Amino acid sequence: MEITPLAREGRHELQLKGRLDANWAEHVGSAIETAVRAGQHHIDLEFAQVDYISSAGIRILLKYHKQLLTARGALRVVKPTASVLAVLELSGIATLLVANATPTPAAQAPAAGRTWKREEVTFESHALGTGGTLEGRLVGHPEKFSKGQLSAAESQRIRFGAGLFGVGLGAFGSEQEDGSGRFGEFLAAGGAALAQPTDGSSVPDFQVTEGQLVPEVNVLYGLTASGSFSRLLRFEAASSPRGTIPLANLVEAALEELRADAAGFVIVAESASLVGATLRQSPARANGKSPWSFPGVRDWLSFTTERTDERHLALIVGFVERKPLPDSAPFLRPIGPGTQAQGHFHAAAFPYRPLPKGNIPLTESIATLLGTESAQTVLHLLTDERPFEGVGQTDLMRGACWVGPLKLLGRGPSTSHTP
Amino acid sequence: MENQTLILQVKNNFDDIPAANEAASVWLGDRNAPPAIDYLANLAIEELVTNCIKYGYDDAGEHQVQITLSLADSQMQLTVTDDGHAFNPLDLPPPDTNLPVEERPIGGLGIHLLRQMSDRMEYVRIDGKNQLTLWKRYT
Repeated sequence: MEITPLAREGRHELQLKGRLDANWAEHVGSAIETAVRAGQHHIDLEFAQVDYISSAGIRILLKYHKQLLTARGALRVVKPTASVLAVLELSGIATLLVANATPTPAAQAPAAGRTWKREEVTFESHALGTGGTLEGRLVGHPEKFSKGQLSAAESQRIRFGAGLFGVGLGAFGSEQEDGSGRFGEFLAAGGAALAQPTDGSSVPDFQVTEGQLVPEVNVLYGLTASGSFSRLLRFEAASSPRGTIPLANLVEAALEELRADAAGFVIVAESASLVGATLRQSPARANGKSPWSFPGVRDWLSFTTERTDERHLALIVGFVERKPLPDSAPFLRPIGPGTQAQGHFHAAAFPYRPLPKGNIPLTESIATLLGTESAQTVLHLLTDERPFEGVGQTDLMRGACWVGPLKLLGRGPSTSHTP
Repeated sequence: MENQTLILQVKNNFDDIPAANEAASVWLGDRNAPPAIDYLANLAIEELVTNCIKYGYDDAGEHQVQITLSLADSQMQLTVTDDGHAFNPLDLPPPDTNLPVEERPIGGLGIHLLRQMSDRMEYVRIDGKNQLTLWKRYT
């Protein structure tokens, strides 16, 4: 089979010639996957020279039709031969897939916000009407981590409704002591929370708001913020020289757009690489021993030691300040060479899937993600700028970044804000 | 018309299916069988042999699947015989093609298509082998 990609009137077209059988289905799937990962969400398959399709070919069409529906895109079959059309009709998918003469509404571009380019990365900004300044809180004492003095008894139970987001070390459980052996990285946003347990489990725990059930996390230390985001920034790095944007550059672009010195972030992005670390043991069981002592640090932390090309959909939550105040400084670290600001970011990595374009709602986007995919890990994001052996920082390809100016109100109990 | 038969032996290996389809198409073309008959024969060979390879055997050893294709009196008869587990695919319920796409399971369509496209299908278990036959008339 021959597969020829063509760009045509705002849609991506793959011209196919030959037989779409079990032997070729995966090749056609790879060509569709490549187009989707390049940001194409409206794909036409030109079938004028395809004279045969089997159930293996139909499976591939259905797989990507379903995937692109979740991204508000569409996969269409154009100009099928009579024999192939008959098989698609018998399969009950002709009405779903075969394009008619008029363009579908999905082919129309979503409403665009203000757009600009920064270092060859395209940004699109949507003002969110209800947004004001986010009110941030510092929880616990991160400086106790390095002394091995964190204790489950000091953890605070925080209820993460849709209007509160945060990152830190925490665990699910009805009692403070429930988490003592499981405290690990957590993040919460949009009424959902994920925590990486340190009890030997390999997959993160998660909770999503359902009716009266709101995720609650026992937090050893962390940052939280309540309020509504003022901007949704969409970013697309496909036309940049590397095809990616480092997290630090995204942070700097957002601070510039907000004209703020501090900000809170929730990002859902297609990532090219995530650089970070995950705790391997609960810090509440350090018993006064510093996790940083060498070589014991290897028993405490699992680092990403090399960049991987494996692409993910990442849910990233974080906070930044250009000039950290004395109270907040222990919570913040350098983000990367693209910004002088310091920050604290956690990321949950999910299997790759395309993200809808345009102005998408935060809570619904996160609920959809958690409802359809399982998180593989939760990481504390790092920058590793060591000469030669450093693995750099997290690189993103495209995504949605909800952001708002942040006012850190210091230490104090956090309460869930219900919008 | 004289009864004419082609017998193909295929190993339980996905890579052998295209060659079997090619041989069937050449044989049908030489006998002026219409395109719809060629399509159905190809689909039957691909779907039925794929099912044998995927689900028919517990061991990793080599097995032979036999395809018998015949034309007589403007009718194609195609039989696939394998020594895998006893399994009658005609017992499977047809997939619900009216379900919304997001609820529709991927797969299960191969047998459904063959049942829709052929005039008749029959399964027998004979001498420890599965034997699935389909018939299709043409003009």
